[in-house]
Amino acid sequence: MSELRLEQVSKTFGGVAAVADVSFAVAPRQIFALIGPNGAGKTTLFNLISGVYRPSSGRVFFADRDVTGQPPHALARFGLARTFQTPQVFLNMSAVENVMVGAHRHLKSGLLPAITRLGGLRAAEKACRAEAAALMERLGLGRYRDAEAGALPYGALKRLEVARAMAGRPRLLLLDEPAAGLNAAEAEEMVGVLRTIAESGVTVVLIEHNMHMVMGLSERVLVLVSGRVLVEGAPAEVQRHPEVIAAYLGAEAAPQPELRCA
Amino acid sequence: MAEFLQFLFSGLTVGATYALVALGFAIIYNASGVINFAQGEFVMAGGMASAFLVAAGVPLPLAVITAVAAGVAIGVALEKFAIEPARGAPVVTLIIITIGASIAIRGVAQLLLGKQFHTVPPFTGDHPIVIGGATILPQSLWVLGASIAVVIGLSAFFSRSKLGKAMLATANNRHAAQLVGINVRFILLLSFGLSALLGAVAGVLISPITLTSYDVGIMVGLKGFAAAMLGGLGNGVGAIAGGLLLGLAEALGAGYLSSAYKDVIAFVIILAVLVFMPGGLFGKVSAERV
Amino acid sequence: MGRALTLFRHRHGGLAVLALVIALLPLSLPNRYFYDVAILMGLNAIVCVGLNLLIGFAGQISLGHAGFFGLGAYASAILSTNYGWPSVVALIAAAALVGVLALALGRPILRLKGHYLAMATLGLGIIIAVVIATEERLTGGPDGMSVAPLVLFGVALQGERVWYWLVGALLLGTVWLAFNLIDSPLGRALRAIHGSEVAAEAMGIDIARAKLLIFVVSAILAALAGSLTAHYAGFITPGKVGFLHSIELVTMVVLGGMASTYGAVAGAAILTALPQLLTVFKDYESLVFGVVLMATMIFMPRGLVPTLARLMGRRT
Repeated sequence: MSELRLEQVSKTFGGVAAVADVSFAVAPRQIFALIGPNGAGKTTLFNLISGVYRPSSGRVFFADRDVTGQPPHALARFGLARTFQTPQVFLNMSAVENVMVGAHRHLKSGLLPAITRLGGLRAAEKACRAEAAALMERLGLGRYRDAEAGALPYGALKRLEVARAMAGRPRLLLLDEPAAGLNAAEAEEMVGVLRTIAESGVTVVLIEHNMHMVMGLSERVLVLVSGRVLVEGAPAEVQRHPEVIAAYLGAEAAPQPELRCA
Repeated sequence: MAEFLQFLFSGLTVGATYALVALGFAIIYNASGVINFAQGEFVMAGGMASAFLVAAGVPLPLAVITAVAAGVAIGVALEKFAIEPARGAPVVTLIIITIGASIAIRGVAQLLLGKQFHTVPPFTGDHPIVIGGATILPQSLWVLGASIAVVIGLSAFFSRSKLGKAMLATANNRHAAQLVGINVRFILLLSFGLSALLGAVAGVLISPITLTSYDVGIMVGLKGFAAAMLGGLGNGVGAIAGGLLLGLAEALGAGYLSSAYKDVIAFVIILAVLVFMPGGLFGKVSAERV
Repeated sequence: MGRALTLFRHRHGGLAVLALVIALLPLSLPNRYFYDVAILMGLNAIVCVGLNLLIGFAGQISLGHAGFFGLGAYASAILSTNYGWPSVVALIAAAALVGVLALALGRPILRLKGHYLAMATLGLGIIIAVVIATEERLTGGPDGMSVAPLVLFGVALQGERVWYWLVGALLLGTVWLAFNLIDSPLGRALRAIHGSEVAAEAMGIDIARAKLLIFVVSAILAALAGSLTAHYAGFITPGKVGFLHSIELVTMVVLGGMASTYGAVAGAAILTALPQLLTVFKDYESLVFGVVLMATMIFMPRGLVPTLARLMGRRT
């Protein structure tokens, strides 16, 4: 029983394999980290999981259901939410409206109820707005509630994306570099936010370069290099793995196997 | 066979016009991302100006050259007084501005020369030449020959001259071009001037065959736009191919299928292409990176 | 003054003001000619409110909406005048026909974006226009055809005054519907699509379905306005179906201010009235119109209403 499972997923773009033969499983309520050098294919993997790309081969299972090739909005309706490497916030709307969009899968989005305002739409809208505002408060974004999303500072934008993703009450949350561009204090805040989210029962998969965040938060870490899985395990063992160190810092930095003196 | 050749000749002739207009669209689009809805008016300006000058007694060669110069002047003025002041505006706004310009230019033409049709004498007489049982007007040969010359000249300009390469660089990445010292504002001015040149040349070439009036620019512009799309927006070779293809399709369709629906052919083709090949015949659909 | 403008943000306030304007305007209209202009303003406004939902809110583009307008007009005209259908039934049937066409063609077309979508809608509009102008036996060709009057509850609606109130009421209804749509999950979904399609899809929004829905809604509104125009004028010509009218409609929306329903109404009103005002310039009319259009877009690139709102906002 896994929340997310990939089986030999590959994706090639015009002959170049961005991701090759990737397999792993994430247990429910786990915090799982995806790390690796730039260009390793991490975001591509997220795009494959969330349906933006269709795998060239392999299968993706979400809560043991085969979702390979399903479009993004279907994945979202199954309970998947994600944030993006560069915040894809709706700049043409206010911050709270952004968060309200996150709850879309729970709302009635038909044409007739919309234009006639029947079917309890007014009450549902009010409730949605209140919930979104509350969510923003919990994430420290209360004062930006009615501000135009484009006016928010970068750190707040990253948290807004998380709030928007959480508004849909997902079961699986994909976070693409949640700490990118944040200073030490903001990153620390983000760690707290993510820990709270995980504690509420959501399975979290994150891509991160911030090792402090990765090692401090996650239960399992997968290292992706050149589109392939290098190693997967507990944070501490991955950190010590010579090939991982070589991939990040260069071959000379990797500890050589111990020579036993006879 | 003779009939087919006939349609082929007329199709290539009008196709060459569309190709020049389409190239003009491509050049401006590449430089600014704007679709210049006044492109057709450059064609009209070229034709109308030469008609006016010839009627005023100016010898034909001089009239043609002056008419083309007038077209270029209009293009440069358009950029200087309408596009540049609005730099930074959303693309939709810029498109509306070019629409306003096309209305204004048409208004001036109507003011100066009325709403009737005008004639322009053909360059070297109108004795049809017989080839393979089909007749072709000498003016058609002028259209094809001059268009080929213009395209060769343009291609040499882009690949050999510093200015041409600067234009290509700007089209590729505006910011980077600015950073290496290319005067991007001047490049934009040049793009409009060049597009106007192409349009005006097409206008002076084709009006001896098709007559000219204040509103000929509308359909020519739209079909040129369709041709540019057909080849993939921004693609120069595609624009030329698209123009010729549309001209041929129109002539063959009008000849063999229905002449009443001639104007529709170009748009049915582009609609079909867009639905089945969204990037145009030669273009690519680029993916968004997130 | 700024506080007065905030009335427009509150849905009911703005509607009340619009209702007031519609109710009081006749007091300032001296004769039938002005009523005629006002009616045309209202009909254009109905189309523009729908078009604005597509262009301003959902971020799409259509350069062929006059095609839907004209198709609605001619379908209603042909059914009521040539086949003797009751005019209201003809009206509804025409709107349904256009809706079905928009539904069928919308799916493949709306997969396109930006200039490609513009071209596809442009092509569609032109094809419709040429077909209408060419099928003379059915449509009367370039000379147009006469249209039977609209008969409501057994009464033939003729004359400017009656039509003024009808169009005014319909405009209010349309604006009300537009606001309801904007303030709903579907409306937010459309605005999200405009903001970022990738993110919108990640939130569970079926982008293709949403775009298609708003395309069909705006097409039906255009068709209804077209039918009404035909019945009001008693006559219809292909002029209203062509590319130039499509461009006029888009210009009204952009001029008024995209993503502003009142902007769409204002834009429609201004651009309907402007040519009438400019007839005083006679031969210079086109030139002045073009120059005015350019100048307005250069100095108010975001359109009239957003620019005014920003100016007002600075004073409070």
